Amino acid sequence: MKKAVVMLLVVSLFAVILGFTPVRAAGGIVVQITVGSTKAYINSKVVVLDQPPIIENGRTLVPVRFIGEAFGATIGWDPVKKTVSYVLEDKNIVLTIGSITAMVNGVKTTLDVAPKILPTGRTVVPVRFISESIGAKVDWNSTTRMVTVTVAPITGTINYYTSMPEVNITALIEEFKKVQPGIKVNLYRAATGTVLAKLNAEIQGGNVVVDVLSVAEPSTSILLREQGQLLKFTPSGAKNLAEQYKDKDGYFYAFGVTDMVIIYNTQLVKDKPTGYSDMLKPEYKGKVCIGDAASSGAFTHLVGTMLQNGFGWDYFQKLKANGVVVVPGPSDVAQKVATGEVLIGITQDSTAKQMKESGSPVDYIYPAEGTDIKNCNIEILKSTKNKDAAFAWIEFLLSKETQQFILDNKIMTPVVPGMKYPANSIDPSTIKAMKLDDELLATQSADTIQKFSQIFGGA
Amino acid sequence: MPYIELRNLTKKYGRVTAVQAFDLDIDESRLVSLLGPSGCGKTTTLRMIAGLIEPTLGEISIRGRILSSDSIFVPPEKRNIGMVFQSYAVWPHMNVFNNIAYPLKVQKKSRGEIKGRMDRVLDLVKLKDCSSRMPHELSGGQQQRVALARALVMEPMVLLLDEPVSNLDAKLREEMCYEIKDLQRRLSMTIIYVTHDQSEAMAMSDVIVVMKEGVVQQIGNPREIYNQPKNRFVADFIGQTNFLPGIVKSGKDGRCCVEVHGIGDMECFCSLQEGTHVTVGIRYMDIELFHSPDSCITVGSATFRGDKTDYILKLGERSIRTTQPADGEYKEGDKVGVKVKYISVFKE
Amino acid sequence: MKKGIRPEVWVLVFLILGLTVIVIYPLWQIVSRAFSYNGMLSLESIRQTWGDPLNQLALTRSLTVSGFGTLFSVLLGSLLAWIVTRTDIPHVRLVKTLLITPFLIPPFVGAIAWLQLLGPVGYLNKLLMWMTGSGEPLFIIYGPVGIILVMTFFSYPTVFLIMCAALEKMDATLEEAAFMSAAGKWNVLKDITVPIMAPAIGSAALLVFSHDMANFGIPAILGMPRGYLVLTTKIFQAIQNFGLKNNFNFASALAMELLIMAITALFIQKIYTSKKQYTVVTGKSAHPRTMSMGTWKYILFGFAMVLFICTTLAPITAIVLSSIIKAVGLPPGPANWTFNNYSYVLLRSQTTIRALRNSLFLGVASATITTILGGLISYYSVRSKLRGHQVADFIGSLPYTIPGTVLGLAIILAWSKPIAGVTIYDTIWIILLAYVTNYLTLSIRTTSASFAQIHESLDEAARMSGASWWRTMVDVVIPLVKPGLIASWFLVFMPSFRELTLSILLWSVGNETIGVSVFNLSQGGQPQYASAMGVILIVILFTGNFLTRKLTKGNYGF
Repeated sequence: MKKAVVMLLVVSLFAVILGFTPVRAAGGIVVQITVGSTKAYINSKVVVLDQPPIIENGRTLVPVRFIGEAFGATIGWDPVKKTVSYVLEDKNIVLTIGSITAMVNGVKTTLDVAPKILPTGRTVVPVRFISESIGAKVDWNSTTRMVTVTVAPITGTINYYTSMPEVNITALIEEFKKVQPGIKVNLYRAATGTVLAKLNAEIQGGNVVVDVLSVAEPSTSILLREQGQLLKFTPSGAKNLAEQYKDKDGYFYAFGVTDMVIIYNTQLVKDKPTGYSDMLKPEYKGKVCIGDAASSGAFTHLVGTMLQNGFGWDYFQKLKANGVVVVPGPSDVAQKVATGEVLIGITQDSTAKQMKESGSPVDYIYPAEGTDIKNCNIEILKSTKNKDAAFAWIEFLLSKETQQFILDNKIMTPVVPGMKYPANSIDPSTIKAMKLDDELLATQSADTIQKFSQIFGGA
Repeated sequence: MPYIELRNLTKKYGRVTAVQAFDLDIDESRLVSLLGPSGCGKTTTLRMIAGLIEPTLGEISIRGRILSSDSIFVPPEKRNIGMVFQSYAVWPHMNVFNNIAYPLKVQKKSRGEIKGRMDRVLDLVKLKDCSSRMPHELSGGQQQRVALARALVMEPMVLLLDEPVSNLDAKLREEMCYEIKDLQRRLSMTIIYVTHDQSEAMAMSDVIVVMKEGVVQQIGNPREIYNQPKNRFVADFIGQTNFLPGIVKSGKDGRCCVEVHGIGDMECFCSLQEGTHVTVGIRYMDIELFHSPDSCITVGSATFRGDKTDYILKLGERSIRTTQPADGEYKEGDKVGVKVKYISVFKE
Repeated sequence: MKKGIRPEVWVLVFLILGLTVIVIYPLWQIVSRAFSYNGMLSLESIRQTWGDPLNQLALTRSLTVSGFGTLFSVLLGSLLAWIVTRTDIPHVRLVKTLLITPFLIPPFVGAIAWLQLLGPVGYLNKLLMWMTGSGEPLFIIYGPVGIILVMTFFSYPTVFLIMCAALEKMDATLEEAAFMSAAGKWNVLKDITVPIMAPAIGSAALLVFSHDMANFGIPAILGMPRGYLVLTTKIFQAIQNFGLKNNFNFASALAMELLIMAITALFIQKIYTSKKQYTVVTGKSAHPRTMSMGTWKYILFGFAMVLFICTTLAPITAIVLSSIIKAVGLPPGPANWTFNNYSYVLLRSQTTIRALRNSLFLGVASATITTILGGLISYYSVRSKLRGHQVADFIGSLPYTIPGTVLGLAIILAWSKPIAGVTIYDTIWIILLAYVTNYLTLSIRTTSASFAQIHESLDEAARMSGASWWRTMVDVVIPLVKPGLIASWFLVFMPSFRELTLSILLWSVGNETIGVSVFNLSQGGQPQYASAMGVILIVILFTGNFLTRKLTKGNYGF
């Protein structure tokens, strides 16, 4: 007991002296390395190092990649400045070869021993410093000359607000529990508009309770970023993501992508539609359906994207003239198509897939003019009280296993490459995407909604 | 010391004065009536005594205990005053027994005492056989007796009655008036009785207070009120009175001679100056008729009422009324002379 | 006894203070934001929203559907109440029970059910089309007509309940006098009964009007598809427009319109009813008599039954049908039936049972608290002559007129921060607070109708008999207004139990309500789950009601 208390005090002292609070990486991790040995253990699994740890100035130095990747950090190397950077969630550590000065989130700190490049060409860095910077516990056994670095499992609760369908999110949370049993995800699920209204009210009321947010409308992330409400961070999964799935400033990441497809009733529609122009056909008069851009984030985005791709407001005027039925959101569109109340409409691919699968008389196509492929962003609110748990949740969602799960359960299209697609599914790379600039969309979203309301709200 | 003292009792509602500077002493075991037309302030006065209304000014004390003044206000439940409301206010959700016994329950009397008092009071109001009935099963008269019993069972210092018999039929009314008076004598109860019916007041009261528009007009026993009305209003309200104009011809030592229009000179008690214009009040019953072919007074109509006959007599453009014994033989058109026994005189 | 402050006065003061905190403070959030723009005091938000022709159109439409909805609800509810209390139709108790059943159907579920019946591809429309051979649906439920129809079907039970209570308490002699004056049944009805019932009618009308104006669900489902927007849908859109600067201010400015209208309606009702004295339960009691209707009574009975079928049986059938269908859009024949939807919903039974428990707790707690508070407020409003005695009534009646969405947000704005270290946000207590705030007016209106009919002399007689003010309340007043109190309890319990609009904003993990559960389920690709849940909910409500009646020998319950 006393030893633990002493260790705790030492770490806390470190924290106080060095002026930062320790951050823990996801999961409970135990790393064991022995000086002079190439055999290391991560959670009791053997890992072979390409460079054994060495001791200098009483400090153990280990290969740069190993110690970072064990914790899921993103490691960068600048050959010109000869700096090594470790980015783990919201912690940015920069070490300079041969220098005992290091930067932690921009704050200078002094090391006991400088990182160096060994004659073998391998770069080694002080293990204790790195480990403790990310909030891990370091133990040294002088007899066995073994360093044990322990990252305690994360516990706590996070409040997660989302507009994703409840069935899907609940399934994901169930999976998450298996990986991180100590973290409780409190789910608040409502339509995009309701979630945003609640968030807005919390912000205005001065007590933001939500930790992590993901809604169907990417502009929201941008708007929140501009308002300064988000926490900047880099999940380790981010290195797998293509640029279009990441915020340039590091405030949000997409963990899936949804497509807006054209859904039609297979019993009543004889000629399979091909694109948006079909919705203007006179034979569909009064039987077309879209969602309300003023209430549904998915449709705000769709309208904005179409505007950026050659469709002007006159397309929507013509839609109105063709008697389009406006409903609250994508699932309402799908339901109306399924019952035959309307013949054709636009909805989210996951909804269309799930309905088709359960037997409703519907099918869907990707519009010939281009599909709105929409990022489903996830972000952390700056006011969060449990950063570690939030990071863990997002790491989980971006992990290869979860992305495969997302694909297998038709929740969304994954953003991580290398997924196994089922036999007769459409290769996402073959879908013609509409070009889109989310940053621009965000600035225009308010106007888009206003204009849409004017056209459709007055009949 | 008077049992009840009311001093300068006043109630104003905004600019309207409902009761003006009411002063009255009431002796123990007396029945005092507050009599007047609706709106005269009698009910307001009663409710001030009950404690249901807070006076604007003035003082109320009973048996020397101040109930209401500028600095003190005793709430109604603490005044030990019994009250019977015009609508009886019998609680529809309690049976007769529980209605009447309620004040005893509130005072947490013992079962024995409750039984004793209830037996006595039920006997008193003759409701012994009805004690388990519900109010809607009772007649109006029975409900009224429940209300009375409830007020009496707490052996109050004073009993207040707000037009208690006005909702009963004439015969029942008369019966109830006798019963109430009887009760009062037996229990030596001090009662304040509000009514607009002067014959009721006359029959029951020891003292009558006549009120008009918030102001006391006259206080006195029934004979005084009847025989010596202080002003025209009282004379008009009490009994049946004719009013004729007159002029004081001469006056000395409290006696005057008044020329009554259409009738002639009459003597009366008054202290007015010669030449004063006055209103002369003549009771219907104070007129004697006799045949008089030279008279200018003719019989306008005659109405037989069984025990008496009412006549309307024409004096020029004026008419007066009179009540005569039933067997009078005057017919419409007959010329009659009148002999007036007694007049009251009021300054204009 | 020194002239001190009487206990009545203290209670009134506390009441008004309490109401100020729970009602005025959140409402102030709305008012202050309506008068702000870009963070500064300004009329700009109001100018932009009130001046926008689309918003003006929405306001007109709100007034139209609410006006007609109220008119028809009052007519229908009053007529039915009269039939049930004043005529000799057969099986009166059965009829009364059946007519109140719409209360047991959550409006959200009901509106969808109506869509399934009379929507363009609804069962009834399809039936009619088949019968008449028409190619186009005969009945268009979208738009003002559909909205008014569904609103009427959902609001008339409120009027019915209030009018039944008032008619039962009315002094029979008033009508009997008319009969003795050779007035026929029709004349008695129009010249005596209706004018005397005017305050109760006014109360009921005000309640229904406020509710209709603030209704979001029905116009959203039945108006939006055809672009028929009302004020509440516009407010909802404003709130959700995250990118629009000052969007909360705009939403608040629009909400102000509703608030102003509610205040005006309240004033009108106050002036109208205060002019007349309608004390009709005096100490002289007699029960109202029923009129013989001859053969008409069977016709009236039939009418009531048809109404029951339309307002309750039909929607329930629709919902049941959609709960057993395999997938949306499949024909409703037995080939496509499955019970999977029920097993799915019940297997997630942890959430379902928790939601039920929460809703039950919220229903009971809010009904009890509002009845007590509402009763007190009514007492002061109707009986007391203290200055400001009607203030509490006025304040308490405001929140109901605000759309649930706006009220929910106001409550978040007011109470999301901890107060004295205690946070109610994200707990079940904030939902309870929201319910009490919202439904207080139901209790006030119902209980004041009862209080108004008890003559003051009944209180005064108790006082003269030595009972203190409190004793008088307990022994005389409360027993006599008990029917009103009971009615109020149920009137609040029902909507609280199945409430959706407020809880959708205020719920958090572990604090889901049944309404939220059903709604979330309907938002995926399988609305059958929502229907299944809806059916379960209806079954529970009906069973609970049945048990209540059985246990209390028919005295309580619908």
